[in-house]
Amino acid sequence: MKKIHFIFALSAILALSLVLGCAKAPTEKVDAAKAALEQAKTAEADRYFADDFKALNDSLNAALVEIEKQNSRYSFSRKYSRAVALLDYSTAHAASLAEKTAARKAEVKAAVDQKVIDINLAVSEAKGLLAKAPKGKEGRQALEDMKSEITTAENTVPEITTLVNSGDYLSASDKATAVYAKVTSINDELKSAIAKVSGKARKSS
Amino acid sequence: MMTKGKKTHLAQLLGPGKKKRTRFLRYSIPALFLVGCVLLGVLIFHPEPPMQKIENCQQMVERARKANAELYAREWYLAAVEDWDRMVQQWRQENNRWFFNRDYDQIASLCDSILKLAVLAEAQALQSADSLRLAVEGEISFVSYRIQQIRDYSGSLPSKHKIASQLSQSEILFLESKEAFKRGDIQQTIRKIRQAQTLLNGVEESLNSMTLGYFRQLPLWKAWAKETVEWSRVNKQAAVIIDKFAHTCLVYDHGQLIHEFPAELGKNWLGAKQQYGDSATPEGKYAIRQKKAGAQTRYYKALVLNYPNETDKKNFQSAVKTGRLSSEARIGGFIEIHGEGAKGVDWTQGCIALKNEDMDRLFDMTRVGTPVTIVGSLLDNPPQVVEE
Repeated sequence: MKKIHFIFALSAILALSLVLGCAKAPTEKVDAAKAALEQAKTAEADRYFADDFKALNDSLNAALVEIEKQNSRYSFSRKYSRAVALLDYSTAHAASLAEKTAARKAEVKAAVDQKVIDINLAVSEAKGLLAKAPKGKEGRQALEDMKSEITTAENTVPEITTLVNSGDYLSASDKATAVYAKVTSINDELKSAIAKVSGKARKSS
Repeated sequence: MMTKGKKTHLAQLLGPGKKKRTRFLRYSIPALFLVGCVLLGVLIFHPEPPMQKIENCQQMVERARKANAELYAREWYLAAVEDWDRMVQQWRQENNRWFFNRDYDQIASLCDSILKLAVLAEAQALQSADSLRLAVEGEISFVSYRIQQIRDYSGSLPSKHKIASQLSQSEILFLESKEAFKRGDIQQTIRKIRQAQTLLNGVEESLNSMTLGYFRQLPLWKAWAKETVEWSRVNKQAAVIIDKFAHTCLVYDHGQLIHEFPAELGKNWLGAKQQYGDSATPEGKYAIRQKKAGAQTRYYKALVLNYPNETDKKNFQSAVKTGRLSSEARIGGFIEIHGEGAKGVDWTQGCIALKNEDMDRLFDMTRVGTPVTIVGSLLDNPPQVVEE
């Protein structure tokens, strides 16, 4: 009789340990990885480091597949270690990508701020050159047009500031680079016109 | 005989008074064995998820994502992702069932669909990315060409601040689009290039409306020019034609073109003169009324024209009568061909300015009464801003 009791008790303990001893799906880690990815997206990692962001998405997806793969198994044979590793990787890299993005954004912003200073300097220089530029045969109308172009460029600077304030540093950078290129091209044109005239003046003297 | 013997043996083992337990064990052991066999069967033959297919799908969706399918093959890609999400959800639901009750058929068929969609998305994305890149590059070149054409064209017209400003804005947008293209942001490139195009369309429209209105009188101008040349031929004398659009002063003698001088005009030369102070150069058939030189003129030498002629006066009165001009408007006068030109800009109040050397030649060739015909243009057709 004692033997039978012992067999039943052993079976019960075995069954209980199988049920209680099964691995559990890392749902908290999934939530953490998703939150980290969302944070990276909010930081605009998908815009500044698109490829890295895609890779993170892929590893999160791989982790979710791995979890379901394990869930398809018997509870006593489930192993979530690979899924956990992928999730840990996603969480850690999402966080570092968010940091990297913030640093890159700060860099772009600093470059834009510097470019705005350069634009203002170039505009001042252009105004000075306009005053010195030859007004004869070289074309007064061309000078009038240049004046109008410089005013347009100058009026674009507040647009750059608005873009910076809204956090769209990449568009601000594009605009700042474009405006700077425009003003410097006008300056180059003016300088070459002035140089031509001063060259002629030297020859004739 | 054998069964009886066995029973006796089992009864002996369990001890006396345990007949009930003996019966229980006799039925329960085979039952447990049967249950065990069923469980084992289920364990061995239970449905498995189509892992190979799922992994293939996952890889394919990753590849499509890497090829920027979301951007270049959006429809296929979003359909693939939607099916993927549905498949994962379905898989989760199946996993929540008892293992012997799971059915992965729908997951397998969803996988087939995802695979097809993702393959299409990747292929289309790769192809579209190339063709879109080429198309955008083409558009960038075209806009660059268009800006240059408009710049050249508008350079020959009276300066209009609004047009110059719009042209400059479109150039900045164009440069922005190039920057966006450099960093691979095709969407932003397209957005900026379209904005530049819209502004350029506005500039082109303004220029076209300026010039098309202007060229309405082209047949009349050609007729005037023909008559002037004919007069020179018949009378064997010099005659002058001013072509405003070409900014030239054409001198004929005996019906032959003998000189072509560059000329500068009134600041607002595009269009006929309406009234005093509008800085427009008039159009019409005139004659030299007076020749001035030395202290008589501020502009080196001058040939005063008989502006306004009878037609100018009639047009002016009609404009005042119909209210197109204010009743206080004056018709103006003292339109001359004079020296001190070559400033590189249209700067006069409506006169025609020549270089002093050219003025010397013209002065010598003409006399009071020499016909001077001022026409808007002598082109065969009105020019287009951007040539096809």
